[in-house]
Amino acid sequence: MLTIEKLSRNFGGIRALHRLDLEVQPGEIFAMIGPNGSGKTTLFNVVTGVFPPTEGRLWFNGREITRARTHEIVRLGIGRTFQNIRLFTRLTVFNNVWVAQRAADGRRGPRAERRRVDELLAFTRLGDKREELAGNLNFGEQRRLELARALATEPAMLLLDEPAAGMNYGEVRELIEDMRKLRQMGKTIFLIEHVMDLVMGVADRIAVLNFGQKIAEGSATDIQSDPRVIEAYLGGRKVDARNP
Amino acid sequence: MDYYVAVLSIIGMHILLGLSVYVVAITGQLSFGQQGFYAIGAYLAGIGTALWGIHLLPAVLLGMTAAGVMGFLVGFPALRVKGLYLGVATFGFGEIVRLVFLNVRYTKTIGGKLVGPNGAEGFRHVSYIYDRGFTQAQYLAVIYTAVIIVAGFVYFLERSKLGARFRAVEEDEVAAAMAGINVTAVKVFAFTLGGFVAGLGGALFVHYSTYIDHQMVTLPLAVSSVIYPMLGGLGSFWGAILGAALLIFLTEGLRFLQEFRLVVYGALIILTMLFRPRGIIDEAMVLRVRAFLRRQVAPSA
Repeated sequence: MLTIEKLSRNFGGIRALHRLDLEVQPGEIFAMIGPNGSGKTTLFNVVTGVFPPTEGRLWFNGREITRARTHEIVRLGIGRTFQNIRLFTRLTVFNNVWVAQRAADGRRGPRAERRRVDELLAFTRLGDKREELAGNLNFGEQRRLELARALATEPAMLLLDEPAAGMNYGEVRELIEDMRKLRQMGKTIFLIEHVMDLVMGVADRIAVLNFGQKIAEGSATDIQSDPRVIEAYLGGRKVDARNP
Repeated sequence: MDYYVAVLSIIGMHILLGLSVYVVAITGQLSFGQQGFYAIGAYLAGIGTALWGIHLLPAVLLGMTAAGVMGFLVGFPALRVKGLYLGVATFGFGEIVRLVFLNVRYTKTIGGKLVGPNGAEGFRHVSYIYDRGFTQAQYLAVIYTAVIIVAGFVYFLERSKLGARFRAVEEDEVAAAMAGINVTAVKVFAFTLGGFVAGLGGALFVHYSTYIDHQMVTLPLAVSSVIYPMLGGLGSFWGAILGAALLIFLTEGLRFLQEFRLVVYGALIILTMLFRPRGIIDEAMVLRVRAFLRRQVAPSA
């Protein structure tokens, strides 16, 4: 569904991504993990056209999106949430979702559009906050509103950038539930995450990124036993917790 | 009486200037160049009635359209700069327009008078409304018809999805693009609209004053145009209207203070920026008013 070929992105002399190959299959939950600064968010920024790649090419559903602009990529069916929440804080909750809706083919009338917004707010449990300013929501609500906004573009694939960051245990459980529901709705999910419970519990496939390069890819069990992954996360030496 | 008609006329035209800044500002672009569009509207509409002898309405539409087209053209380079730099760049545009009109000579002798833009002499004898026997009060009605049309348009824009998208772009361009919004189109459209509205203001002004020259469209006009919506509030188009009315009444009412009134003016602006950074009518106030109005409509709810 999303095909990434030999993708590199440099910032000055820093290689944030280096010759990365990746394929996300339709209908799966694909997770990417990696230490801080390994290039995960940069990857999302390149995929969504926030900045162009230095090298390499990207396709989505067979269409090349390497040089496409962000809103064009969104209209092709990619939605995204941000790691550091980026809501329209001075718009109401309702309007945050409403602005993201498109009636490109005129299929939807204004009334159907509003109904759809309310559906999405109900799905993200924000129905009673409808007329509040988004800036007044609490952290968990803001994260859910970002999800509702991303869903309003009716994406086939959702890019979630550390959706569990700052969440407590109960909220992470809810998030896992939401992700399973999204998959049942037919969405493909491409996830970046630090919270290992979430990744191991929910992802069909996992890729590990380190210094902009993919060092492993496979199921949760494959990844957990991969020596290169352990090295990347825990450092060069094997550490014994009892005898440091 | 004539005095109040004059003050209200000025307020009407400055409301248009304030609204032209407002529609651009709610996409996150602060323009200090709206007086340039105002000048384009004024000169072209004036040329229309005074030199070509066309009627007021087509002349005003001509000035407005020219300013709108210029707004569209300015919208593209404006995409490249933000914040203070955009302020400086747009002011640069305003100065270019001013200096062009300082140098343009296009005159005819009509009825023994030299009519038309005449360089530093300015553009005199735009006497259409006086030739046709309009009274000041009648022309006031013309001005406010235009204000009501524009304000109504902005009201509907603001409540539409496009208006919400304007504000989304203001707040976060990356997030807006990720919501599928064509940020470039929104920003250029806002500048086009701002050009039209400022051009309309200028076109009405030149027929009111019968005269315009380059000194009328300099930095002070740029600054006051920006201050109207910033003081009045960026939460609603009412802010620009309130700001223009308040500041002009204040300027008139404080004449007894002579030059000290500018101190009051400055203090007011500083206080607003300190205590209400989004102006008097900010987004939170708009929501409170809407909630209040809803309760009035449906008291049981």
